[in-house]
Amino acid sequence: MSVKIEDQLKEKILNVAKKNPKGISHKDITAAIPEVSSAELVPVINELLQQEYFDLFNQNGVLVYKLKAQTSKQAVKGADNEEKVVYNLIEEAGNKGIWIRDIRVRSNLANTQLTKVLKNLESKKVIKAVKCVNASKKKVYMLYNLEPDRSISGGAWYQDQDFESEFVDILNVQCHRFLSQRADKIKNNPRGPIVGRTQSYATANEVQKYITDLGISKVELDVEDVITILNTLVYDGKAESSVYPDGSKVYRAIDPLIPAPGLVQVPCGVCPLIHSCDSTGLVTPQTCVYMKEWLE
Amino acid sequence: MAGRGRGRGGSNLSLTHDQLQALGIARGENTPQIVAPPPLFPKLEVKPLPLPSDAATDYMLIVKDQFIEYLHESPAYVRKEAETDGIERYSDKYKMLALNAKKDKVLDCVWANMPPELRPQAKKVRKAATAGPKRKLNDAEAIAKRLQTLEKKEIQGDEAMETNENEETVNNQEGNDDEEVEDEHEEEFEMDDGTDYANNYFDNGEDYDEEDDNLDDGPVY
Amino acid sequence: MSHQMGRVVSAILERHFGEIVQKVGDDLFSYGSRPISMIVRNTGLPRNQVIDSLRTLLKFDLATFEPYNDVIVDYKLLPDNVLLLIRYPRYLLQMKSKYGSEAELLVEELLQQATCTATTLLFNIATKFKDDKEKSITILGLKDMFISLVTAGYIQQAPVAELKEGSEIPTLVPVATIVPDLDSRALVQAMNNGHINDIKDNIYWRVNYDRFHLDFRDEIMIKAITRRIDENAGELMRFLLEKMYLTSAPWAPESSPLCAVELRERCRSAATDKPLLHQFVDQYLKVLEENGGGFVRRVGDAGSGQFTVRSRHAALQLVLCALEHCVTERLGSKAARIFRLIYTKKYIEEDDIQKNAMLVNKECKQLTYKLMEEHFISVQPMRKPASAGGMAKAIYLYHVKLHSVAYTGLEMCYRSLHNVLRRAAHERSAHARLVDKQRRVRTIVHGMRLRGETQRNIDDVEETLTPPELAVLQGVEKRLKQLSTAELELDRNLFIFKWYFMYPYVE
Repeated sequence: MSVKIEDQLKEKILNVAKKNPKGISHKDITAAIPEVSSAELVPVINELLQQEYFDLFNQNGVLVYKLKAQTSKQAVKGADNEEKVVYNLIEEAGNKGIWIRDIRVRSNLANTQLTKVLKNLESKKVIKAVKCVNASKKKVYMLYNLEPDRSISGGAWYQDQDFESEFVDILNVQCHRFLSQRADKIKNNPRGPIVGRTQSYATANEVQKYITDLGISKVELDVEDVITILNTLVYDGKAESSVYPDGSKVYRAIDPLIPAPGLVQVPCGVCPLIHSCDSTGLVTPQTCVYMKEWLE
Repeated sequence: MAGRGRGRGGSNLSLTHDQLQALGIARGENTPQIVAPPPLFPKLEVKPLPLPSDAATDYMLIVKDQFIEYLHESPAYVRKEAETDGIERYSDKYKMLALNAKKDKVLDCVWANMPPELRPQAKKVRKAATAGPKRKLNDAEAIAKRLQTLEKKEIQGDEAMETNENEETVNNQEGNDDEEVEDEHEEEFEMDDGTDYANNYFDNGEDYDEEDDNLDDGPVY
Repeated sequence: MSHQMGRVVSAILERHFGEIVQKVGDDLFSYGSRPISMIVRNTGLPRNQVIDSLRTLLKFDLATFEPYNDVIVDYKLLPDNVLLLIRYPRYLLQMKSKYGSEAELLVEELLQQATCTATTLLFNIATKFKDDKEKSITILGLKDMFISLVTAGYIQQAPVAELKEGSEIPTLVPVATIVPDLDSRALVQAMNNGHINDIKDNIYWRVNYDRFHLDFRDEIMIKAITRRIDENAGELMRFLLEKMYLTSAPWAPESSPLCAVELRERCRSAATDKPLLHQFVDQYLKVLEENGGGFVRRVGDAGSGQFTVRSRHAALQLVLCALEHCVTERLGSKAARIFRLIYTKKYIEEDDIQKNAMLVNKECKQLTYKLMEEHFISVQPMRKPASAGGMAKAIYLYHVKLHSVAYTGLEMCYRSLHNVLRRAAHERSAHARLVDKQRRVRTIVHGMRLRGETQRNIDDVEETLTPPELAVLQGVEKRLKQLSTAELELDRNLFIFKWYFMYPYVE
């Protein structure tokens, strides 16, 4: 669906909504715009919801969309042309936001002027600047009432644009603990290794439930979030994953194939100077401080 | 406008010496000097993991030591000939005797599996071999030829278990072309003299002396 | 043959055969193949010592020779065999635990002699233990064990010398091992006579290292499977390997297909010991295939399932595991996570590393660069086709070149091994005088005990070692023990790398 048609559709839906200040149901919309199929409507409505044109209510089991009070829109009403241009660009960017340089390029405004406009809009609480998690220095602008997209906010793992590595670590440990509890089921299982293996596997759903029940997370973690964590366990070499015939992912705690090898049982294996160590010179096995400490 | 910004920034960023002193900051105080270079061995953040200590390891440590001890006692462990550092000592003689007692033993090998030049052989063969044309050490062909004659004679000789070694060949290899005539004579001289291992050893010291001044000394018969 | 390998080889030669053999070995290592005269000239050693050294090297199969022409012989070091010297204790351990003390004695003696006739070997050991009633070692018992070991391939016939016409330089030709027919009566007779002059025996034997290495490989694989699944799966792995020997070359990268039917039979015969394995053999085969690190692969359905054992793949997995341990200890578990992630994804962009590894951006970058600095990962720039914006941006893909990383690991192993050996040598020489004194005191005390001298006199002698001296000696002993243990462990690590590098590199 091209952007233009989408915009027209949006306009139409908004018009219908404006006529019915008490709210409209899906049925009302399809009745008002009979030429568009319901499948085409859904993404447009979703977008309108995302851009917070609508509030969603449940009236007697029927979902009802109600037009929000357009404070922000009105705020722009009294603004000058520059502000309008900038506002539109930001609005267009949705909850992914737009970078200041892109605004400048597309609005053709001078730097100082643009800064002023942005400051203005910000102070009116029409827009906001959001730090992007991928590049900490990069700020993007979006409408004030929008929830930043995951790619910007980073989702559950970010608190005010800071990656919460400790939170991830805790979850990593907890997931591992959960898998470890059942890992031994595969060993000498009287019902056979296949049953044993199934018993030692945990589905992502099970792990998600376990984590939720633990209550260690302030935010709600969905199964995808838990899979992300479980995958870190796979990369840690502490778990292996498999897929059930129904497509759900399962995980099992494992040990490395061999215990720590000789190389890491000697200082040289962990030595930061190993590559500058030689038979002569300042760093030699005879004069090595690490070797000395190790032998004490 | 532009000037204002710069001016303000400038005065903010660097205080004059007097201003600093007024604030109670003496020179150099705010930048503590790092006197020592970073340590050669920075502190290790991780320790190596513990080594195993079990019966199997203990067993292996014991047999390892036994094996090495066995090798050290066997002729497979090749000992140095001379420990002399130029100073003659009374004890030298006894040391050498002890050393030579060990050296006298020959490594027990399957000689047929060894190249002829490694087999124990009688030394008189060598004497005959020295009578050859003057050779050029740098010429591979000449060496080959010489070795050929040498080897042939050796092979003809009996393979008694006498292990007297020919020290002179060493000298030959080390010497330069000019010394070669002398070397050859010397070789014959030594050959006649060296009748046993111990003797051979004692000759060694003189040998080196001779090497130094054998340009002056004529061959000794 | 790397520089680091040369350093280890040199240190091992010094430890076992002294400085002179070491010098000759160094010379051969750095110049490849050369005749005596060149060794003499380059090392400055007397010719007779070079000859002695070469004898030692040839006897213990640490060097070979080949005729350059009719008279000149070129010598060549076999550095891989030199490295095996430090594996000596493991060979003995293997014999002792698998076949008992008679086998241990046979292999010990044979390793010490390098090559030996069966008669001499048996006679020498039997004579040594003639008066040891406790062990009850008899020449006939030894003979039976000897034949078992030959049959099992641990002992093989040594190559024999062949003389080409017109040349006096022998060529050593490997011969197929034939299980010997040793005359029991003659052996017993020899024991009674106290000499073996009456027995004519000119067949020489030596230890077959490769056979031991196969044992080591099998054990590593079985243990790994036991860790991953359970003892039953480990046992099944053992049976698979057993069957593999019957049909495939023992080091084959992948064995020829093995039938499930045969394995089922094998499990049935072990039913009392491993009832679960017998009951669920098909399930175990499935789990082994799916969760066993890829050591075993199903290749067909004939005979109710056909399986191959993948030695090459196992070596790869184990080297990878060893390297992961190494990264974990050197750079931390987060770095190991990145390393594994990159290996799993084959090629990956920096942004995706951060997303998948779930690490703070900065930390993630730092660790990635550290990994690169230490050659655990590499980066490959890829030019993106010029985009609409006109700016052609290059993207950087990280990946793990396992073959070269394994090489880095191998080099680290060599380095560590060299350092451990050097340090031990340093320790010994620093306290040589004291250790020597201790040895002398012990010898004297031993002699006094034999002569039945009074405890007081013995104490007097023993007290010549002062308490501080004893404390120092204790410290030295402890440190040397630690270094020796490290040597054994490093050798074990080296084994895995060597196994991996046995197979030619394939992309």
